[in-house]
Amino acid sequence: MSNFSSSELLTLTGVEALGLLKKREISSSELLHAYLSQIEKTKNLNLFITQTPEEARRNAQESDQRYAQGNPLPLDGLPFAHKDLFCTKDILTTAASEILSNFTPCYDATVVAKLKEAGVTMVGKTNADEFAMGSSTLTSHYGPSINPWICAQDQDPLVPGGSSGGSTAAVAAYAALASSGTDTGGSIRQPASYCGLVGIKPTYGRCSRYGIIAFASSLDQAGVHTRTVDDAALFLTHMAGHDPKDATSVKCDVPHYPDFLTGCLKGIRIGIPKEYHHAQLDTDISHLWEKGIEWVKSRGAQVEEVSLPHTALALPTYYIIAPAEASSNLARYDGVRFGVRHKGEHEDLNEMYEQTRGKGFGAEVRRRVLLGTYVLSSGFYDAYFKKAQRVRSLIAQDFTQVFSKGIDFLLTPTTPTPAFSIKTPPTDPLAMYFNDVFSTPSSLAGLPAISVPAGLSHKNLPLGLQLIGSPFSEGPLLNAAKALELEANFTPLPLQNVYIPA
Amino acid sequence: MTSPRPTGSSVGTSTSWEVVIGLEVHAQIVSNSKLFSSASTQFAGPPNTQVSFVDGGFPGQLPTLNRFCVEQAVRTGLALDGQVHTVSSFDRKNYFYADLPTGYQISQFFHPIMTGGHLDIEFDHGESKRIRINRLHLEQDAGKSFHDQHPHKSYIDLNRAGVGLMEIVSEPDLSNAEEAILYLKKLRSLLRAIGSCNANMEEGNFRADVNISLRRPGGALGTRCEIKNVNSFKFIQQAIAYEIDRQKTLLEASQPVVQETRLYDPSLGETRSMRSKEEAHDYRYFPDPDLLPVILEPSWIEEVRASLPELPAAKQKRFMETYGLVYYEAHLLTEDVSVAHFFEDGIKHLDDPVAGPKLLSSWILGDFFAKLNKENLSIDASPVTPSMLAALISLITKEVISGRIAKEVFIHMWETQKDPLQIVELHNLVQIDDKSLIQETAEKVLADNPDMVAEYHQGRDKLFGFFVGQTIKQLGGKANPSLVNSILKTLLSADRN
Amino acid sequence: MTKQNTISPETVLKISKLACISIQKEEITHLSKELSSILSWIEQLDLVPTDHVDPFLNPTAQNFPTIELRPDIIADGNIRPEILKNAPEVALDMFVVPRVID
Ligand SMILES: [Mg+2]
Ligand SMILES: [Zn+2]
Repeated sequence: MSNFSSSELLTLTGVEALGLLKKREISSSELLHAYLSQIEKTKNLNLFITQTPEEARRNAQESDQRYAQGNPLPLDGLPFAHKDLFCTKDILTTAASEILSNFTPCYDATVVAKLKEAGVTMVGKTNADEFAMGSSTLTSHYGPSINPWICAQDQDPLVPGGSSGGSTAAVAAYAALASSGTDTGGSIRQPASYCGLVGIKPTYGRCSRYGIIAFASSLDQAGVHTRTVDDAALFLTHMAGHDPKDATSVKCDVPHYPDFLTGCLKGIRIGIPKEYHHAQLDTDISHLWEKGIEWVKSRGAQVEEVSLPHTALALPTYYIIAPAEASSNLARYDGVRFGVRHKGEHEDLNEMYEQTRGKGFGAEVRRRVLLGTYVLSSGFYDAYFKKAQRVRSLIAQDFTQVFSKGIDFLLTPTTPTPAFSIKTPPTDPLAMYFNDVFSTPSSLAGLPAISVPAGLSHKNLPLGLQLIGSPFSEGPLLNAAKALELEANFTPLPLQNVYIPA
Repeated sequence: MTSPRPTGSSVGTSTSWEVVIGLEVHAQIVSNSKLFSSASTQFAGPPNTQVSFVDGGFPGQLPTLNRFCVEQAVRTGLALDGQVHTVSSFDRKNYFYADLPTGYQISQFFHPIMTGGHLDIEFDHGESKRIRINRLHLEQDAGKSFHDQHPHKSYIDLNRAGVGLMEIVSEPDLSNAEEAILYLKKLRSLLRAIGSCNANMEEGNFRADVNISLRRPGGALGTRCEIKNVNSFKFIQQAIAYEIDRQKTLLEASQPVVQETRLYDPSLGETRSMRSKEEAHDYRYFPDPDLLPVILEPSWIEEVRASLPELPAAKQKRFMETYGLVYYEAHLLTEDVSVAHFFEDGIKHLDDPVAGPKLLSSWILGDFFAKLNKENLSIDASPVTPSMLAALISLITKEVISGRIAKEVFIHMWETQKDPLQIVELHNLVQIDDKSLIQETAEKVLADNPDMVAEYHQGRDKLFGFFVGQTIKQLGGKANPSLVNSILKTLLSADRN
Repeated sequence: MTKQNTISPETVLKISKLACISIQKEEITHLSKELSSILSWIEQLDLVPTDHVDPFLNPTAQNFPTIELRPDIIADGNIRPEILKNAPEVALDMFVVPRVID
């Protein structure tokens, strides 16, 4: 055992940990041990659907052997958690749904396989909104995850955001060093912002979707949550890449992202989209946004106002396209080849389908599947789905125009509010959907975007700023995030302040 | 084979109703692997062995497109003289069914790979009719459900799930069952010629849905019914006949024909409504977000066009022009590529390029086919090769043996695979051309049958054949028949005088 | 194409049949209201003219317009145990479901 205390181990960044591992000042096994203890300690946050400590210990031992032999893998021994939307070979994969509560895939998602090959140690599968449909993890069949941040005054447990809420809460609570997420309309960035983390959604097609349980195929994209921008760059380098098993993955080289991180923004032009000045924007957040503008300027960037005229249409467009694709993607959950079949006598196949799907899906999933079915149904396709696809083109063109004028990145808030209470979430679906107002436009356009923790609300809750880039600009985008990170000087949630409910 | 001329389906020729038929053919693409997965397409494997996670619709699985299936569709589209589109794309057709694992079929609804071809069908008397083709698109097949294994359960095998299909949709240009069958046979022959589909109805890789409606001549189209998956030419004929009667009865009783999908029940010879299909027939088509458009280079399409083999229609025309065959022969020889190939292979080995081809054709369509049928063999499995048959034909044209003897030699050849000349020598079957020997024998035959000769002279011309037969028989069957003929003619006319 | 910005209880039932999702009687009114309010919010899309705009398919197609094609080789399948492993009911190496009525 090294001289490092468990709290010292847990607060190491990925880059720091790798340095110490290479110098053999710490071992993969002891790093893992610290994390497994913390997972145990934080179990009341309901971060994981499945924990995999045995496999993790075995992997850590193998990792230590590689270090001993002097041939470690690039991310060797870093404790990592996967959102339970990623298929993991021989390990339960539920998509946080009852309908998949017994599903054990025989294959790894490509992102899982790539990270495995890079040497990460998977500690478990994290909680999420059911089939990634939500902004709170409240829709999980396995109960909500709880945000380790808490407002000191009212002591009201908060949502971690969603849908990758279990993943972000786990990293914020030091139950994993980093975690994967999927982002369809903001599901990486919003919970990262709510939990005071970095969350990057790369360009659509950068990471393979193979083995990720599909929500909306034209929007879903994998990404990563970390405590620092350096770690995000490091992990993303080993997640991205072309995959012949995903016909929408792009054949485009993946650079070594950490090489971009100078923190210098000289010659960079940053746009501030005026349409993001939303009436319902929290004042804490608009102040932070102003600060962000000053920070990037101080790093050498030129800042100017830009216009993305169709911004307001992104959310309704998203709520046609995503449910429509989902209604079709989720048709395979029928209780025939895998998953939970409704118990009891069934008169015929159709009754079995209806009962299995009616009982196996939660309320939000059913609502979205019904909505998606409706907008695709005969007589409504042109008026809803096709219309939304056309508006989606307009939204994408807004971005293309801005970037073609020489703007490198857009700076916006990540979310309109900080994390909200688990006890009093918005009851109206529309109010809940409003959480994604700043993240859906870039999702619809398939652009890379990152949320950087940048400050605290007046209740001391974390707030994020979002940077959006042009396709495949992840390297420079991470550098701009790095600049923000350096200026914001945000302090992650101190280990001793991790909220653990009784 | 072509069917007899339009008969009488009860309405086909009636003046009061006109029958309008369109066909949707599902032709299974010949390829090693499936349309969207790398699992095998082989027929009749043990259940669920040719299934990948993609075919099983497992969570997180994604389709990838088979290059060769696209090429096969392009070849077929070009062979049908259609417009192959440089941009096509895939859509999802959403419906729930036990053998459809993902809950949607990937098909091409909005932008098919080909539109606007045609196929000319020909009748016995040489007339032809152009049947327009609306479109050809790529889609995936479903699995197979078995409803007879258990009283209230169905069993599902996904081996076929995901196999590539070409759906070929005709315009409603067909007017009766005969034309429908001619169209299907013509299409089958074309697909086989270019090798894009094996087109075996029994193996289910060539399936037809029949759309049928009735109208007053020149009037607006009537309401149509779709008869699904009728799996033999006979059943198609029966199903169409039944459906025409049914619709006619309804219309003449002023009752409406309901637009619906119907199933043909061969045991009852009836079609019946598939109600379950009707309820859920809102397919909610939308572009498949997992697949990008297929964009083809025009130059590549032209390369494919140039690489197409000679198509049956062109071959038929060439056979008639080059070998002096009649329509009927040329049609039968070109319907199946391996038959055409056998014929042309034989041509190369013929001695007499003028009389040979016609004789070869009639031998193939006659004794040779009869033997194949009897032994239930495909032409590729025939023990008699094209060169052997050609050698036999040459023995006839060189008058080494008679056509009659040739039949005997053919049987020996079939059984022993020996060279025909060897057989002729071995069995001493060489034709007797010795005029004096034939004359001698013929005289004897006439002398032995004085009553018959008398009857012949009284006008029973038919007896000539008897004298010929007897003479040849006396000479062990080997006499040159034309010599026998002419010698007998001379003898009998001299006799009368 | 006509739009209706309300989804009646009958329509809720109809689409639940299409989606093969059983819903409880008592849920229907609520769902009808909820879905209707989402739809009327979506109506705002009508404000923007889009007649001359092409529909957006997939972000990858923006930069890589054509699909990558796979060679026609058999490289998958023959994994029956894995295919059947998660199935709720199996017999004779096949998936078993309640009887299908045509
Ligand atoms: Mg059809
Ligand atoms: Zn079809």
